[in-house]
Amino acid sequence: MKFFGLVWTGLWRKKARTIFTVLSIVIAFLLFGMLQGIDTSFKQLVDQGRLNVLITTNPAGLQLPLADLSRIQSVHGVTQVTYRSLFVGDYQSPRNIVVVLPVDADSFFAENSMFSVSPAERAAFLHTRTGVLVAQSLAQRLAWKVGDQIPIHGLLNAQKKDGTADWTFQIVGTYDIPGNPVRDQPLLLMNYPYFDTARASDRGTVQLFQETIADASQAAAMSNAIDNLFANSPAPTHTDTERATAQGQLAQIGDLDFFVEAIVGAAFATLLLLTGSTLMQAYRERIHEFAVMKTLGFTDAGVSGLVLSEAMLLNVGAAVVGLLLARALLRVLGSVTARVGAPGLHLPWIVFGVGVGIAVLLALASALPPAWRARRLSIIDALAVR
Amino acid sequence: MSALRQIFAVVGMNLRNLPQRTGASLVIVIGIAGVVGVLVSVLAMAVGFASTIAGAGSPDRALILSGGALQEAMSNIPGDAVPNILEAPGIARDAQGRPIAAAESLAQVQVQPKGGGKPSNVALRGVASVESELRPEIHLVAGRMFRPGLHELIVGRSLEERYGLNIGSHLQFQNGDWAVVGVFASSRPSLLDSEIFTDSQTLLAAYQRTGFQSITVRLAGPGALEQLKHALAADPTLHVNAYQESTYAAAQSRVLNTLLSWIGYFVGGMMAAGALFGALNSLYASVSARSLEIATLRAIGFSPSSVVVSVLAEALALSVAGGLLGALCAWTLFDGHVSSMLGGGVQQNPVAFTMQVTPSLVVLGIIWACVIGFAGGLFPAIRAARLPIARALNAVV
Repeated sequence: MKFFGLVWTGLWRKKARTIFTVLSIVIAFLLFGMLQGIDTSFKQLVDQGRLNVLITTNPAGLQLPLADLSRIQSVHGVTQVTYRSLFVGDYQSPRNIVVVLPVDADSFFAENSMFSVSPAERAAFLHTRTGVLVAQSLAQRLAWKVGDQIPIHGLLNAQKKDGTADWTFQIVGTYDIPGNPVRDQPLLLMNYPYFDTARASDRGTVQLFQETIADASQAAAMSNAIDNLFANSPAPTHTDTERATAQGQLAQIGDLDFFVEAIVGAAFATLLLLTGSTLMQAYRERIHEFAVMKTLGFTDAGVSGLVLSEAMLLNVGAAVVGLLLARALLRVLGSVTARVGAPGLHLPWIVFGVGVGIAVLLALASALPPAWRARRLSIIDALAVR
Repeated sequence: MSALRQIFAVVGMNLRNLPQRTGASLVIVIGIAGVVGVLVSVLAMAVGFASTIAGAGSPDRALILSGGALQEAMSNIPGDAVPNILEAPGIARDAQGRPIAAAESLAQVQVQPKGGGKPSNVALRGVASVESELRPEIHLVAGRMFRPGLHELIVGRSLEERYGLNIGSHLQFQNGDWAVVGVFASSRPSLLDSEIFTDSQTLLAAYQRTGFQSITVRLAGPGALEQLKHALAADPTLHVNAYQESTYAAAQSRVLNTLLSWIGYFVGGMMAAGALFGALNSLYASVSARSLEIATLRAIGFSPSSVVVSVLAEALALSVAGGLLGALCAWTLFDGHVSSMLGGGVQQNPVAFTMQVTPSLVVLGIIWACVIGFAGGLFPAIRAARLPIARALNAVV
């Protein structure tokens, strides 16, 4: 630590150069942090998918008859079944998109314990036909209070019998999904019976069934057992675990991984070249200085250590700044994406750690040649240059 | 000596000296190559995707959807309304006087990708015929047509590549075994190349449906769309809307296209800032390495402007080289690369498309490179011009 002053002064020998180098490292890590943050946020969504929960949908992309419910319940090993529909609408302006999930309240909360709702509000939801529970962050953003009547204009799957798509709901409470990447989704939970009697078409159908099974290791067999029930019906089903369903949706978005890696790779390769050449240049300018230091009694290892520490300080310091910036930016961006129904984005600490690790490696790789030369530097040759 | 000749002399000397500063020059070239490479690649995706979605649409055709439906998948037109709709004016008719139109239904089937992995949803479209006056751009390229009444399919060309759906392969869905008997392709990139076709009535029977998702019609000529729209709106028994097919197709890809372009410009812009700092560093270094040379030139009468131009020329030459290198990398790696993305909107079927590195993208990349080079060269150039001659010459070792 006593050489920190020396390292610091060495770093600021040429102010402009150091500032430019720091800025380009900051930008490279900002890019890394944002892209990896987006990537991991999506992957965490998959990891949240449970292995003992199955999702049954219609592979033709259509609805399933609610009448399937009792047959699914009768499958041995299925402990609980819930079902839901889905429609998309907006509140006051197309900017405020909301997703409405008509659910069967009792079975929905029994199977989705991550939704935390106070018992009083849950009871109010059960007893209020037009009642809805809304995400806490959504209520805050749109300044909704419990007791408010809110008009939702339906955009998709939301036609009503009366020919309009205008729904009015009463807010009976809020929910939160602590620690879940989708906690900020603009989601409304409504009562399925109200939805089903009011809608214009597809009455008596649901978008999906969600089954909890007793033994997760039997998931594949159970999925087959459920699908076999409806194999010869007009609406055959496709059942998979919650996690596999999420994975399938993610895989269809496209080659996210490939692009993140290609871009980050290009950025880091350029960075390595840049810092490498900067450090080498700084070293050449200071050959004389190093020779003097060696004359004064600095060891070979001491001099190369100084070179390495400068590179380390430069890289890791700038990387931390870049990663912190990425964290802040993702938080802002995340509140925007959550608004349109995508998962909230964030930069997990693990990505932060990986970033710092990469910074250390970059510092080592770019400082190794000058550090090696500083170590081998012969005092007489170096001083003779002048 | 004229100013121009001075400039040429100094620029020429500076460019010939470049090989002596390889390391620093490479930082500029590679830094800018990275920026241009990423920018051009991401935009090549956007271009390829948009042209594939748009390729399914023609200004000569109209798409009729049920009222309120924003997309084919959300639309439902009862079968008994179809003859009424086809009576409407504005629809082109063939030599026998029959409307050139097709009522089509859509379903989804799950297909296993070639290399394994999660099955994807692929659109299954019930069509009247493939070689028709309605969509002359679509042709059967291998095998034969499906026969009505049998569980037979023909598949789009991109599915053949992506899912290994060849003639002779079978798919199981809707309680049946379906055989692939042919492959079709459009003459330009099209969304339809990622679909499976079967006979319209066979599909309705298999899914026990009576309604269609859409009616596609050929328009009789200019003004026919307005005519058709009016006629459909005037009939109170019909709840349908007509859209020009090309307009509809463009609207389908707009959101994703904007998103992709935005990602390209954002990531490219960030990398450009990084490359700019790298260029500033290298050019300042280049100026300080040349300080003796610059001072000598100034001492023997070369003007400051010729020095400024020489530094800027160095910056621009290196950045154009970087830009070309980046565009070349993007072109060799990705031009013609088949990628796939969800087809936007609610239907969410993966659409295969070919990335297109077009000349205009390459030009855009070079322009970016020049802007970065110019910005990175300006301040070092000014410093070079302001170099105190006496002190620089004094510093001689």
